[in-house]
Amino acid sequence: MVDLAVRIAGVTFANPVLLASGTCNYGEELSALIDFARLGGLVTKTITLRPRAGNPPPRTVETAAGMLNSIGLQNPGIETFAVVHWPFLKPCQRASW
Amino acid sequence: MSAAIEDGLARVVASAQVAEAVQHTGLAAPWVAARAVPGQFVQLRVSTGLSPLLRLPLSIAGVDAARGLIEVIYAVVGPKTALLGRMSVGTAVGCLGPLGHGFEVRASRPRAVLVGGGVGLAPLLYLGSSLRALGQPTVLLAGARTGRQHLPEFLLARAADRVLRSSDDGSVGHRGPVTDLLADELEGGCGVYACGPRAMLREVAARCRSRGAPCQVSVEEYMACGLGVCMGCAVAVRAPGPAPAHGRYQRACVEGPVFAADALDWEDHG
Repeated sequence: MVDLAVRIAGVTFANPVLLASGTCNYGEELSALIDFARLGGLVTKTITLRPRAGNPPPRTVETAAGMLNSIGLQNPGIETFAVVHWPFLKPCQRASW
Repeated sequence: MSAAIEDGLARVVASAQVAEAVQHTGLAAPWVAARAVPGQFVQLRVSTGLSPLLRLPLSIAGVDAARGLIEVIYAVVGPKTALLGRMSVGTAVGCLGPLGHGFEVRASRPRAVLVGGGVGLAPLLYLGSSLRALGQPTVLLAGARTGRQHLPEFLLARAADRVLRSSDDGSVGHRGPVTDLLADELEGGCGVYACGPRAMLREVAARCRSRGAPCQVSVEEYMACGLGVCMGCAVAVRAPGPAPAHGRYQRACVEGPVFAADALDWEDHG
């Protein structure tokens, strides 16, 4: 089997296919639809020190063959991320740090 | 709930115009029909190309679980609804679902009052037939701008023991907003379920609050992914919910589209 591993900023990924930030949130929602074992990794949405409410709606508008969005970095903050979301992501780790 | 979501190819089994610029389409989507509850929706990929790129979110208007069929009812207002409305029987359409948090369906009150405006009636038809199957007496208040935009009797009748109509132009039923009809129905401990334009929902919520009637509303928001990933379909709530539905804004596609009316911040919501 071809070795597709790549090393970026000191982290080794099994392959160079990463879900981009904003396309996968923290992974949970897509776990029923995507086999994460086939991915090199996923980039979570932004996590800030403190929670951010994000922008008032509307936040998205569809364009020809695309969309624009301005979510405003809505996120629960690092503490909630660590307690609520990290337990799901932790077993997905295969990279060697 | 996410474990039950599937993406598959549905097939159009029937499609007909049922009111002015309103289409009624039946889809064979057994994975949705087997699991859906009233108030949930599907995301339909109506194009195999890049435009339109995003899927079309539509409430489920009816389910025949034994035959694996679902129904959608929608206003033909843009490219996606036009594409879907033109699809002939047998056409395949990508169908992701069932999605979202639906209505709490319980036959616990003397009467259920369903209030719908325009194609906001769609999820209420599924809800009404489910409530009736539980033996719940059900009244449907159906509003539209004009008589020609009203859904036909055969669709409304299955959702309620009694149907009252209103139209803005007075051509069918009561002349005025459908919320005018609510006052006479809010008696004797009823439960209210509503779907329609924001202004209508806000008025329904206010009337229910003043009479102490529990009310669930299904909101419509601009929606991109439908899965809770993009955070595009934000809905302002009065008090932050527990994680992961944290913060001032919840997602219409995951925590909703059905919310307790009192949970929403109506000043911010439109």
